[in-house]
Amino acid sequence: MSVHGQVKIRTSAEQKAARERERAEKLQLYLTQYQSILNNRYLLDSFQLLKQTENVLIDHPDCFTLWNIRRESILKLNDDQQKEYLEKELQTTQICLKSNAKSYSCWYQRQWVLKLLKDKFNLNLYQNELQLCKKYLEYDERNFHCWAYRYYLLERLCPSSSSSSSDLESFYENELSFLRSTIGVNLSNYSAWHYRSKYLDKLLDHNPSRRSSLLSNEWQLVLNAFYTDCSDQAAWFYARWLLFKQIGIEFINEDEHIKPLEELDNIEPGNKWCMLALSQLWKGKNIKNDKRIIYLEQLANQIDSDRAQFYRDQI
Amino acid sequence: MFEGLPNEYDIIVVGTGIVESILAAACARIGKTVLHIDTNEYYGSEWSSFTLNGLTEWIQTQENPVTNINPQDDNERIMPIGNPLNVFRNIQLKWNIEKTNEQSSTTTENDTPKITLDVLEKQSRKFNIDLTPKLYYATGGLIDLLIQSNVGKYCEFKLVSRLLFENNGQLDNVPSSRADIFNSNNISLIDKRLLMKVIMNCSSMAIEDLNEDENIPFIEYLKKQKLNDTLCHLIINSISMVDYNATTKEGIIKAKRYLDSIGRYGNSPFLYPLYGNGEMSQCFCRLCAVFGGTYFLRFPLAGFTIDSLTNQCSGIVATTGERFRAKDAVICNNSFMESISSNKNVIHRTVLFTNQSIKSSEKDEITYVRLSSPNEFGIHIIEVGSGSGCIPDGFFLLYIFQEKPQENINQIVERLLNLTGDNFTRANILGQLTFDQVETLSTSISSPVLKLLLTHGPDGSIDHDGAVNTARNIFHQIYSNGEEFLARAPDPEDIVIEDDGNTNDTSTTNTNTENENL
Repeated sequence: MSVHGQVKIRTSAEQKAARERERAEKLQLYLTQYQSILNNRYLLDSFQLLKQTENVLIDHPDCFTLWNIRRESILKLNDDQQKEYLEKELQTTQICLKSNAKSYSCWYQRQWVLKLLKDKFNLNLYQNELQLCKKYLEYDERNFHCWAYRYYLLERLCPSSSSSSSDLESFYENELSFLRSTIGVNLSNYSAWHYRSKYLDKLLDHNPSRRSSLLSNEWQLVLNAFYTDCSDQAAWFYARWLLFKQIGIEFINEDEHIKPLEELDNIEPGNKWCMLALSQLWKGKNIKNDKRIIYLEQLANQIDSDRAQFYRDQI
Repeated sequence: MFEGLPNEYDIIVVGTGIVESILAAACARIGKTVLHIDTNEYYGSEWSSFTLNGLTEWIQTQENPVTNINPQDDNERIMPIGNPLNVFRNIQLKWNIEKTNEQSSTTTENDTPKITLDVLEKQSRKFNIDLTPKLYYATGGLIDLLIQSNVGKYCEFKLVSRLLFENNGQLDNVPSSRADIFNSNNISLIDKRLLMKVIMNCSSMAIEDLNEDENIPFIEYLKKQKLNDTLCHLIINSISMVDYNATTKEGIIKAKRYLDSIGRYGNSPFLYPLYGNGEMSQCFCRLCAVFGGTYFLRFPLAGFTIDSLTNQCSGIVATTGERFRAKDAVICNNSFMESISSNKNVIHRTVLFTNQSIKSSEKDEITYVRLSSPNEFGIHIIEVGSGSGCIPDGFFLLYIFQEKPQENINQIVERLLNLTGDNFTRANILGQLTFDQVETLSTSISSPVLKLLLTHGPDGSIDHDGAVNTARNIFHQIYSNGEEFLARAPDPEDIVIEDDGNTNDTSTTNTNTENENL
């Protein structure tokens, strides 16, 4: 307890007022700094501009103009300084990402830096970036900026077609296994399933002899997903791609593909995904089944009437 | 020895177990003056944790001298205390390793140093051995109380990262979340669907919807959902954690608790305190002290002073004759009552010191296994490694106790060894501590006088709910005019210092003072 004054605890009205004051002060400071940079843009040298913009961007990372100014300033530097500042830029953007992990500007800036550094390709740098992506995906597995950036990195790191075939194959398999573990943590992760489809495609193109075993395993994975949670759409979308685009109608067989879905339908009647998948499969394989039309009508009229026309079109 | 210590308080609390400490904090929080004492030289009473050397001392010190005090006048009666350490009986600590290397008669040609007791004793400080191991559900109970009262900022927790159950002669991971079920290789597709359905139902249903099913045995209800024996056993034993004769209502309530707790802090419903359960009492004592409570360990307590006319407890008296008065009430752990010695209900507790985990893992884990079968009370097994701050690197503590004692410890250890296979054998057990702890929760020792409120020690369950409820009830018994039980302490940012009388200028004065302090 202080000698001079009383200890007092703020009421919620006072708390709110305090927060408003704080926000107003912050806004004022930002506007002043921003205006000053714009006014002096052509008067200051690159280094000063980089310093000043950094101060503002750390708290307000989504200001496009300031990032533009940074890019301009870095491009004005000579080769050695440029390299140094490009690498520093990675650190700067990392700090800014702490304010907003989904800032378009920050992620774009990182890509821009890597593009410029491309000629001085540094494997460690890319590995570090991959680690960073992994960390950010742990914080938020749906950060699509991070996913897109990760794939940009993987394109860069992918062994070229001139390197050994097994290198390329293990590269794809590593990625598939990373995606598998991400899905293992949360099977609703649509991004993970989406990228899985891309890499499966690449692996199948690269090594067609493994086609049937890979597709079989993949089907088991996806069956596992909708038996665990039959309402999760990510797995169903993937299944649709897998069945119709990858496996192909001729190779879909009743025992492996259709029967498990029919069993699921028995346990979980009224599940729109299952009903739709079965309707499409029965039609595709020319299996005469009265249920098909009944299901499509149920879907159109009751279960998913928002998409009624979509179902009716299939009848 | 009592120089400077006031003689009058609103509340006197005797014993620093969890229930007493929560109460001391709650009373201090509403502005009451509290004197909180313990006859031991450590905090926690029956709930404390010891270093390795501390444990040895505890085993040896089971005596507390009892002194007779005479009443000071006709209006006073003295009720002497019993020995609170009488709640512990049959304490045995047996080591399977040599004390030192010199005693070893075999000459080892290979260079593996044998683990000896003195090596462990040198690292005594790294041990925090719980007398009463407990886990914390992430929602409800003690964790919510810690958050609500802001006492949570005094302690740290780790997730109980691994939950195992008995499956086909070995220990497997308990699949309880969607991710677990998805990733499991041991459950068929259809069983996955059925299991998920039951789990989602348990989570989302309201108890009222059960209707007639409410009172049928839980196992019957689960069979009605078409689950096979293994899955029924999984849910009853490792998710609801009830006995086989539990009703559906009990089973679903507990399943909800478990499922609601998953995801709050991680993929497991339980937390374990860093540095052991003894920390908990201390955290509440800290809050009490912050709000003005006075602490006195190793207090030479002789007994309670009773006002003969009103038959009310007026306070306590030390062996020196010094008296301390309590205006509102004296709260005391019932282990101080002389009649506790005749109590027959006990919890058999065991602590194994091991050098190998019961199930190997790449990372540091805190493991919980619940064993049970029909006609049997649940057996709790908790394993902690060095990551918990309770034991040095390379060693583990294995706590074993049964909800209500039925099997003897050797049978339980035998059963565990059958499940662990070659990874973990008897050779990995370096030492074994066993003791009986009188179970004072369900034993209703009614208070012999008014204004003396009795708390209790731990029971054989895995959580603290009983303790929290008792504390809340006792608090409302003493203060029944709507006082809040452990209201949230204010955040530092909301505390401002203002000059006397300048209420009009509050806003500007406060801002300036704040900026100065920054």
